[in-house]
Amino acid sequence: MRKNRFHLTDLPSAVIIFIVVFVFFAVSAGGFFSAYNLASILTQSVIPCLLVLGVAIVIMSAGLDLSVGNVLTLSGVTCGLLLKAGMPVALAMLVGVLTGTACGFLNGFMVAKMKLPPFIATLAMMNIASGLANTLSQKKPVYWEREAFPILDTIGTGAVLGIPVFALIGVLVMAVVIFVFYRTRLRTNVYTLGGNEEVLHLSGVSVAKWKIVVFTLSGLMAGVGGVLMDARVTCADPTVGTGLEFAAVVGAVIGGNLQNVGKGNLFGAILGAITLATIRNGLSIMHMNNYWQMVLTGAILVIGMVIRELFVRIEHKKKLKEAEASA
Amino acid sequence: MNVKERIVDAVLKNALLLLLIIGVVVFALFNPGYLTLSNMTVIMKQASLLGLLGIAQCIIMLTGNIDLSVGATIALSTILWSGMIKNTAIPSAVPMLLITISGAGLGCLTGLITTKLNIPPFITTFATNYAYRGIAWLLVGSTIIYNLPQSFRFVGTDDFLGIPITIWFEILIGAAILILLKKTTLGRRIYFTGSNRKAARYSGIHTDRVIITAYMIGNAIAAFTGVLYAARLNAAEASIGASFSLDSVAVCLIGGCAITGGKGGVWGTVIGAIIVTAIKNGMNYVQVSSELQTLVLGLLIIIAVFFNQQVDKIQRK
Amino acid sequence: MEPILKLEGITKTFPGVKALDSIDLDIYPGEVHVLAGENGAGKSTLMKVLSGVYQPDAGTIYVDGKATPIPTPQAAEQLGIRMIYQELNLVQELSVARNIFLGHELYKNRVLGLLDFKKMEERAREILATLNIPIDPSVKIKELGVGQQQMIEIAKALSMDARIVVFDEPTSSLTDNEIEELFSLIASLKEKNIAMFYISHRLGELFEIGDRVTILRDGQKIDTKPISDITMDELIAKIANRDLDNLYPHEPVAPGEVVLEVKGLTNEKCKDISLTVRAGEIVGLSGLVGAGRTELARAVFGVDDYGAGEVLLCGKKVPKHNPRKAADMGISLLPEDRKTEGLALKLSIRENETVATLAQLFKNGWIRAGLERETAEKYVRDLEIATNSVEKSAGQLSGGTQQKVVVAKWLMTKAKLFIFDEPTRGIDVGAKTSIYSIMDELVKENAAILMISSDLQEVLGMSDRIYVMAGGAVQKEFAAGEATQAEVLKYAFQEG
Repeated sequence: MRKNRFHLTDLPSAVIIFIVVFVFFAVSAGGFFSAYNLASILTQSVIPCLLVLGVAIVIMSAGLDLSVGNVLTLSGVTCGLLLKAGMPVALAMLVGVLTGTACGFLNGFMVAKMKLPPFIATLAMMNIASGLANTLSQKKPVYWEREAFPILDTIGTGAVLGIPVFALIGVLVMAVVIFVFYRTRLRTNVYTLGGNEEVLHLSGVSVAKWKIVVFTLSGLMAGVGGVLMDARVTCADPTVGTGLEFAAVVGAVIGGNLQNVGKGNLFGAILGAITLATIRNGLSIMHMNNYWQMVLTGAILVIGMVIRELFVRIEHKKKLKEAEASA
Repeated sequence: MNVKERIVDAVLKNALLLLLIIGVVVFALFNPGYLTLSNMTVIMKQASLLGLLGIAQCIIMLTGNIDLSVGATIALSTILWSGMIKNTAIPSAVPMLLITISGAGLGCLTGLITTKLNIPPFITTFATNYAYRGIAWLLVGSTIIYNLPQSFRFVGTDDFLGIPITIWFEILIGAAILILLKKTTLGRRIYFTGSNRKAARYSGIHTDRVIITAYMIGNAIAAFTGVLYAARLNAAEASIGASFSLDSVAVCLIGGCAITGGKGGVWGTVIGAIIVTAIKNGMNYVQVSSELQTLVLGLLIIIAVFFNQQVDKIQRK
Repeated sequence: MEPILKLEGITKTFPGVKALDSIDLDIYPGEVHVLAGENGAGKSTLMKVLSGVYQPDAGTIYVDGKATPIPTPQAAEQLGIRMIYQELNLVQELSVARNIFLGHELYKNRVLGLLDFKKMEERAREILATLNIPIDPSVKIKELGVGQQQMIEIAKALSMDARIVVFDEPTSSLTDNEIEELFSLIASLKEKNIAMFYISHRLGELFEIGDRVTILRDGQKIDTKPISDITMDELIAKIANRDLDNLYPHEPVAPGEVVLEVKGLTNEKCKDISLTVRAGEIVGLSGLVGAGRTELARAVFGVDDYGAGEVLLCGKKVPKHNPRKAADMGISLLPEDRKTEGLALKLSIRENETVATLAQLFKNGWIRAGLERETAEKYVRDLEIATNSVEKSAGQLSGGTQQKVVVAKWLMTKAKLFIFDEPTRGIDVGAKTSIYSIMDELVKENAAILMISSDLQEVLGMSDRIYVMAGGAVQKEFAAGEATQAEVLKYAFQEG
């Protein structure tokens, strides 16, 4: 009987990167290590985390989703316009979320049924969502009657026990997703899709269906993110989502998911998103401009991958040594 | 093949061109101003720069890789070039050469990281995109450098024998790359590496070297194109080309490149660039907003790639 | 008693090859019906028709006497047909239990889709226990050895009600003990009236386990007989239908200098391997799947890395992990999987042929189209490659033709050592003989050949010397004429 051995490559490189980043800023940035600041990092990472979860799952299934940022924007704009037109809050938010979900579904359709490579399908969707969002909003932020929807204010700026409401909602959604992932067929089928699609087919499971599920889920997360963002910034801002898709992918990748197609770690992904938020926060405290953030993000990404590669090579050498020993 | 089959085959092979012609006719019907010589010239001029970027990306995509940092390379290139041309005594070719060589250097770095460190090109060039863009910002902040000396700018603005110089460059570089790809052993290795990297290695091809070379050539061309952009726009700033990376990928895809490599070429990419430019220009004439144009670009990508895939399937039978 | 399954007139054609030609077959509950035949005879194709992966072009399938089409793998599953393939269909990163229940998980709450992990693990434990498989169901597949994974594959197939089970080369990676367990498992399945098809190259097994045997050759059914009514010689004769001499046109040539010398090569899959191949020799490398032969070939050629040991070509050291260098020195590798490792399917025959010799043919880097075409056409003629144009894409060719293109590629390099990995797998008989002739020609011109093959007849018929590998190590070396099938098999089954 053999128990599961610990492989160095199972450890998300996110942990190491996060620790390094955190320690760096704790030491160099005055005021970084305060409870208030740390809490602020967490709240800033809620929406990116939502996106990261969706993207990580897609990546695990050997796919890719570049559209989440603009889909988030589109969802937010849709919701905003409906609110402006006077639609009840719950309904408008629902439609916003459904918009994101629909975009995700279309992505899945293009990949699973039209057999377009995910890069291309989601790239196209990125453009389509952006075009739609900008057209609908006329490239200007959409405002609604704030007094008519006090609940939005509560969500956006209110707090329970010191925790912002929108963060609570975001965490709740994430918890549901994580729960569903680990406790239903989702994880099994996603891993199988990523590891060996054919096996899934031979086991009688519809590959197309689950590919669509995965992309739809990612779109759903973007939809939720868009609606929450509306609440948080009290308007539907058509520029808010730009670049978020890349942050989501980066987060998922730092979390070790790109190299681990067919296996993967949602917690690593979340940690990746938090790491990025930490960097942004730390740099702004140190009064270094955003441009450094860009350079740093790029560098960290490469370092993260290098660490992973290092682990892989160490494991490989270990295996070689074991083989030689028993020869 | 009988006559009917021949026609179908010819249509499929030249589908892109036909699409272009149809598109042009449609726009002309809506607004006759579209079909004037001066407008056509504008389109070809704009398309030439996009085409060069597409060619740069195409070489890289043929090996099965991708480069998301071409936009940032352009920005850096414009900034560095504008710095170099302050001394108007230098012959104009020198800064251009230097920039092109630096581009090759950047490409070499990208290639090395991707192949030796086993990092997926998507990630590497994503990272370098951020990094280079950040460096560009750090160099000049949000200043726009303008009023560049005309003695250097002429490459982007003037004509030679009646044809804009940028188009000349596109023809020359396009032809050179076309020859490289189709007629040299390096080109053959590029196609083979993209078509089946494993088989390429098993056949003795140094796939790493091939990929690094592709990145070097691609980035050199991209850097060179950056000079042309700065020359044409009379401006150099850090935010140039934010969408260029994905635009160049789109152009390649529309022109028939496979994202996995091994398929595509200069012709398709150049036509792809012309199609995109012509349609964007046409939409301007028909008063379509630029936001909707982005949407149309997205749809265009889907249609073109889907179409290319179907054609491939049919031809395979 | 009525047959539980009857196949009538099953025909299946692929481009260039008629895989199945009007096959009739039936099987009774509780029967072990053995399928015998060479590689490419149609056994696997027939079973794929049965399992719903392929659709027959003609013919009818009767289940329990009723005509029943089997359009999808799911349909086959619902009929109680279970396939146990050679290629493992397991998800490496998931546990044994989750793999067993893949596609038919156990739920705590069906509506919400919540899985019952505990129950699945318990049930998995039960199933494994009934099959006497001592593996913990919570272990991830990637932690298990190939033999163990195969056992899990079997457990997976039996986890739901099975009426017909197909074993496709089940013992290729099993140890002696595991084979015993498999056979007692089969015996217990017989008692449960489960019908079983059993495909294996190990003819000895067929006699041990089979009730009836059906022999396939070139897509046709040759005969069906009770095992007790046929002898081993008769069986071999029906399978091959040729004098061994005619099938394998190899005349030994006096061996020359040592071309390849491997000393103590060790890596993950290879344990301290040493062997030699001389000019003019065809050295056969025999063994079961997973014995490490392909890994050795890859290490020698440089696709894989290795730790200890060295490789010498004509006395000169071959650098590790550098296929270009190896090719330049004169080593060639014709890989196991020609489609994914040997050819760029979208490129033409011409382009595939010349890819390894680009530097030699076109010294200054400029491709001369005329020269390239002529050279490609010359090799197409010499090797009798079945095509009317060198511009055809490699993906459109039949297996045998593709293999010839790979051979042409390496012939062009004027290599000194040819490593053939399963040279005639999945190739029709005509092309096979053709390839054997080519190999014969090669050694007559003083090349050295290392031939890896799982086809025992092929190894025995073509080799001058034979190395038998098992468990990653060389178990035995046979000189010309010394080896018999039984002897080779004996060593092939050893553990490392």
